[in-house]
Amino acid sequence: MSPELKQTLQLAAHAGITLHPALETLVGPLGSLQTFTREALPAGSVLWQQPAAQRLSPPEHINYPGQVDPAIALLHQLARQAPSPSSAVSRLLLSACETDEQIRAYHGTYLDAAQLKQLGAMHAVLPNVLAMHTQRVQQIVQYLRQIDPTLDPQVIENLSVNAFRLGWFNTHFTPLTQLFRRCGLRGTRLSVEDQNFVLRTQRELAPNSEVFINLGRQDIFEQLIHAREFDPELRYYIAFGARLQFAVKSGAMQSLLAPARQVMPIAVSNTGDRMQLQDPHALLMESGPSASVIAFFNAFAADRNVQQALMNDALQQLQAMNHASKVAASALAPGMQKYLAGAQRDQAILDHFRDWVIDSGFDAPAL
Amino acid sequence: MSTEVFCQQKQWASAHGLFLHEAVERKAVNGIYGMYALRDIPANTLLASFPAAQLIRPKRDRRIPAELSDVDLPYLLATARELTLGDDSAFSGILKGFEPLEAMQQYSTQFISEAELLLLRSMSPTAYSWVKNANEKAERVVAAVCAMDPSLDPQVVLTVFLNYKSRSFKEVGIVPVLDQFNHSDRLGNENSFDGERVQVYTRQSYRAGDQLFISYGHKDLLMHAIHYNYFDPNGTHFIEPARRIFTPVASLTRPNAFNHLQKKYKLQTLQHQGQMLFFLNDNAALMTEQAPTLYLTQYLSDSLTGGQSVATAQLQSPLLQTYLQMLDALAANNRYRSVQRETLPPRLLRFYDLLQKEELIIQANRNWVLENVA
Repeated sequence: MSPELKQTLQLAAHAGITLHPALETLVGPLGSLQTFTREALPAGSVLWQQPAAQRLSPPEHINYPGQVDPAIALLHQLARQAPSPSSAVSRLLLSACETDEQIRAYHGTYLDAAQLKQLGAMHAVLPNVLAMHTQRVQQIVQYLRQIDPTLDPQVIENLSVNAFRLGWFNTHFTPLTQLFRRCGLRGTRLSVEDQNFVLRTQRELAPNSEVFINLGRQDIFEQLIHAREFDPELRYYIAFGARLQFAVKSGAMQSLLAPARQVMPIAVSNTGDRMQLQDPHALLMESGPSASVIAFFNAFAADRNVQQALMNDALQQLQAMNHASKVAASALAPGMQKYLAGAQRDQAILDHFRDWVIDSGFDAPAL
Repeated sequence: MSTEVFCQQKQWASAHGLFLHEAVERKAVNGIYGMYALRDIPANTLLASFPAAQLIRPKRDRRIPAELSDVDLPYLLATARELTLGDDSAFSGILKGFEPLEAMQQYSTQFISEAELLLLRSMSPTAYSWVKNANEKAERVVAAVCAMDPSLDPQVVLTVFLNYKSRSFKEVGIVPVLDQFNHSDRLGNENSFDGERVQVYTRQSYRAGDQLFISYGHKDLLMHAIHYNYFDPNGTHFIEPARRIFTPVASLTRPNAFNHLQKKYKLQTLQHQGQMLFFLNDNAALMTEQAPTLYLTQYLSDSLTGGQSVATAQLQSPLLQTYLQMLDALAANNRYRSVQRETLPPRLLRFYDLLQKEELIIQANRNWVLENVA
């Protein structure tokens, strides 16, 4: 065990966090931490528990303007404590953060203009996802600087990038998430029980198997922004709802749209000629489209031609974004390889989706 | 069919109007014959065609028993008469490709012994009942055709029926040379009949060396093993869960749900121990190797809602739960692990491989559910 990891676990113990004794954390071949269980664990086993009293609390007596995400207040608290952390949990969270130098070596936020151009050549969505992430970080920096001008903008930026990387915006700054790799399928469930944060296995774990944490499923490119490398062993998703807008072309589609909107969260443009499925669970998964995507197509089941048009539209739009086959890996610097691998996996997910369309009895456009 | 017989058939078919694309060749790979691309072939290319006027064309002047309405009895009658004529038949080139009964006795489930049937039941009660039903149906078909022409030998009729089950084209029956394309549900090319010629067009582009397929239509993998006498684990396969699982009408939670389903879907009902059961008799409701198809989820949704408009967010969890129960029921029927492959008679080996593949499909679909729940 590395001295840093040993120190992290000591800090965790000091913060009252109990970790299952069978767990062991190692630095994996791709540079990320990976945690394994050395013995069999039945489904529902508690892997790790954080007492309510030891959770990070937002700063007191501050009125945040607007409808602020409670997690931003927690980030604010952490930024205030960064120079000299006063609690064990702050120390623990800050110790999980990588330095600017470490992050700049691989993180998508710090790509230069030439690299962004290369990204666009691989996949049209990649630069957009990255720009949105960078914009979000800058918004947080500006927002907290307005509230607290004494804060160092560099510190806020560093903490924001780390918080996104470690999934803290989803977990209300729960420490130790860095010990586990994320996975939507083989995950563990993080929940609040009697105000304590508890991480349980969702299924039985065999001895020496890796323990993953499920912090929600992201689009493959959002996942890649924060990753050191592309890990082919993990599962990836395409955010179907977020990526696609559909043209409402035919009268048949228009007439089916109103009943479809009664059962599905579908947004329609002011002009009524565009629609978008607004469901974060609408994903193209490696095992096929998610139930939400299927429900979306089924909402138009009264007209098979409309279903076919929607599926073909989705396939063509997604395909038009992906240019991975036109990019040679040899032309890319090592730091850019993960994005190409991601774009290639994106294509593979798309191929699975096309297979599903054909298996469902529809003619699919050539990819 | 040996290469020699195929060449003879091709020669006969060419003289009778066959078109076969020059880049198509028949060869055996890993012991299985198929049609392959000699060079790259683009999508929408005509691979082969044959004039319908040169095929066996029956007179359709007889009443068919309702229970056999899905079988083309007049075609079987006409073909059995031609087969009886042997080399004197004007369609000898078509008949040349028929698999003889002696060869089929080695592996077809039509000739399964009682002991083999019991062994199959221990591996899969579903496979057992499907094989039994298929065999009983073949007996009824042979009896019906022989009743139309008592001079026919039942063995000849059975030969025709088994060949018809495994290689006939919809509407036109058995087409020489064109029936040598193997089946793929996904890669299969489009086969159509324009009233004059039976045609096979590529639905996608192929590279040199690729196998060229046609689609015989989506089918449960069990049906393939029964009708086509082989099972290729590397192919793409499907399960028709709603055909395999009988649902009690009383178990539907919504009032009038059964009426709604009956109006919208091809349901078949039966009485069992005082209660009415039903199943979906439609091969579009498939479980693929990854996830359910659109139509299957639509059917499951309608079973739950009875056609009422229900927000998808509320429907998702019961839908996944129902699908999981379906997977559990399929898994409980798959017991191939209770036997050793080495101890099985040759006829049952493909069922062992099939059930192994079925287990993988069930697991993959279970993962799809888990991934959705996550």
